[in-house]
Amino acid sequence: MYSIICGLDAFGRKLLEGLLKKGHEVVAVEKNEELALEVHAETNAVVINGDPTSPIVLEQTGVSKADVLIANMPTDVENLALCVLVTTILSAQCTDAQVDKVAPQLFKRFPTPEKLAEARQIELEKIIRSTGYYKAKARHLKAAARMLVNEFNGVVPNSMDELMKLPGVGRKTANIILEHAYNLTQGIAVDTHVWRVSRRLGLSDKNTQRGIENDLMRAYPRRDWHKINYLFISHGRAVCRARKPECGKCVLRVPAPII
Amino acid sequence: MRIGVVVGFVSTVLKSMAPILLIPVLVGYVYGEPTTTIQPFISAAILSLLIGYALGFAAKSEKATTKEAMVAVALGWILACMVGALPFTSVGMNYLDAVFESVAGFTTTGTTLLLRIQGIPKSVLFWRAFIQWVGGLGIIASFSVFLTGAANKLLPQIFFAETSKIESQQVTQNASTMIKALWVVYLGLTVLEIIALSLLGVGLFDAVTHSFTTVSTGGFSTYAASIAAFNNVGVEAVVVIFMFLGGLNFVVLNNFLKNKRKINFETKLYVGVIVAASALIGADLAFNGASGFQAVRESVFQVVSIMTTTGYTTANFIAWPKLSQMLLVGLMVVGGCAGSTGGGIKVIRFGLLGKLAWREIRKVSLPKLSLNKVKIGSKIVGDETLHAVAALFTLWIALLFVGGAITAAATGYPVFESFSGMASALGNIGPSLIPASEIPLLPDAVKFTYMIGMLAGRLEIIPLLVLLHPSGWKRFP
Repeated sequence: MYSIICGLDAFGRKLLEGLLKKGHEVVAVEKNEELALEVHAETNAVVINGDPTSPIVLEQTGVSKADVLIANMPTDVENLALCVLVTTILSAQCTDAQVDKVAPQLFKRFPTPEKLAEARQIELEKIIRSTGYYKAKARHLKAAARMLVNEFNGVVPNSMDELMKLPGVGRKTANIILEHAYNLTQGIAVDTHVWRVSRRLGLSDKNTQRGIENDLMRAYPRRDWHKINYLFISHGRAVCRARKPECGKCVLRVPAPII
Repeated sequence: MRIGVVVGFVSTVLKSMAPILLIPVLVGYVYGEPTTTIQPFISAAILSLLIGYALGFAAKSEKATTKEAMVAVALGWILACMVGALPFTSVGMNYLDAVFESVAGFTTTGTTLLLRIQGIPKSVLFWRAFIQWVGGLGIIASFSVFLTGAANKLLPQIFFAETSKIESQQVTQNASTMIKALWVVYLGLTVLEIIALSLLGVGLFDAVTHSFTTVSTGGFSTYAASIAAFNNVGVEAVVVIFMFLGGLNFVVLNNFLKNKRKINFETKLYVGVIVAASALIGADLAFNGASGFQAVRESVFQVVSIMTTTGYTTANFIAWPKLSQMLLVGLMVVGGCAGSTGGGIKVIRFGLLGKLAWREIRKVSLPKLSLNKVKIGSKIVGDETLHAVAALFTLWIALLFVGGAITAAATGYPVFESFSGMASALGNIGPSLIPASEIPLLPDAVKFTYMIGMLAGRLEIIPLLVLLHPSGWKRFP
């Protein structure tokens, strides 16, 4: 059996030794360097010193081939994040892949807002065609670029109000831009996944983006806001799908989320 | 670097040499030797005492840095060898040969330039054996412990510079107590061997001198034929046992005697290599026509003698099959355990290098972020240590190559024989694939190369190179 143990406290350690003794293949992940080194010294397990809730670290454990993953992190928040991340990787669903493919082409053809503002509508549509709603998106891109050049000196603004003036940019997009471009957490980006997951989990009963965002902002401490979007999206894609959700596999269903 | 601090150590070494030089005088007196034989010892003692006191005026008694300790150790060894050489000039050696003999003594190598051992006065034969015994545990630290009160605060660096640099971390805690404990073990082993050899009918003089050169893994014998001269299986067995003990880490041996009966990684490896090499060479000898008993007797003795870097012989391995010769030269490079009286690169370093190689192979198939440290048991070996081991190994191989090349160029011996000569010098062994009878006839350039090789091997190279490196003489500490 191929097992991954995340978190090497006394319990994780004992589990590791037990599995090794029975001849199982075990990979252990531990954030604390001292602890990781200690287990590395005293056992023959493969020990990774890193944060298992980081996708880069988790990828290294060969999680997709593992039979069991034991989330044994110090806090439930970490355990939850880990489980969500694992299910995302396992489901290998990524509709953003198309966007990732198109974006470099777009930026190569139109490297500055000035160039994008002067782009021909037809050419723009051709490049972004595969992402869907391409006519509207192309129109918005051109208009937003023009406004950036004319009103913001070609620089993407860093306030919610200014961002929301841009065509095609709503609260959700503005939140994401602020978070990723400027490292400013002003709210929680609510897209269709966050919307659905929040309502299904009973975190909100509102029917508007703003209402759900407010409920979530009340439910979580500010330092965790930036995680909500990607965690809920991951969960919403992998398990809590719009149609036929996999409630049987849902890690949030059980009180103690240890698989 | 403060010259005064270095001079202080050198002065201590020279002053300590005086009483040591007077011990053979007693031997000469007991055996009724003429004053012409005894005279050089007394002159040498007076000379070293005078220079020692003269240098004492320039000495500064301050805490030494590692660099100063290393330089002091290197200079101390060179001067001790030069003073210890004086008595050999009385038996017809020129001074260079005498220094060679002395270096081969203090470094516990045991290569001799004496053409004939018969007829050499007992006091001189005793001196050869005695300097090996004194050199076995390291002279500078020992002198400092026994002869100067101020030494204690300087001791850890000296001990570090003079012994294997692997186990020293354990020793620095209380170096003085540790060195004394090691001398007790050393003395105990020597006395036990003297008793064992005497019980087997060996005369007192031979028992004492051979015990001195066995426990120190030196290898000087009072017979040209070495241990083969006794032609006695019992004597060979006793010598094998004490050579084996001399090649063990004395700290481990000391702990073992103090009821900490844990056999460490290095000891296991040491025993493993001895057993495997004995078996292979024994098989090779038997395959080439030796009787079963003879094969075992000769292979075990030669393997233990070479591996511990003692260098006694009971068989002429120059006439052995090539596989056996190859293995013996391999053992010369490996040497004894760290912290033993043996030379060579040391078993633990080979163990670590092997583990390092294994780690690099393992690394390829492990996840990139996973920990991959070299471990001994459940202890992680720091990369710092591994770097030091790799550097020493590189220097050793480089010196081996240079020395081998000089031998080949100056003598015309075949390549492998030339390498074996330098390996024997660097590893402080003694015999090599160059016939012992031809060693006294080597060109001076080769003798000088081997002298440097013996000292470099005994001091584990770095102190000697610090002495030669320009930054060793800069003023920064």
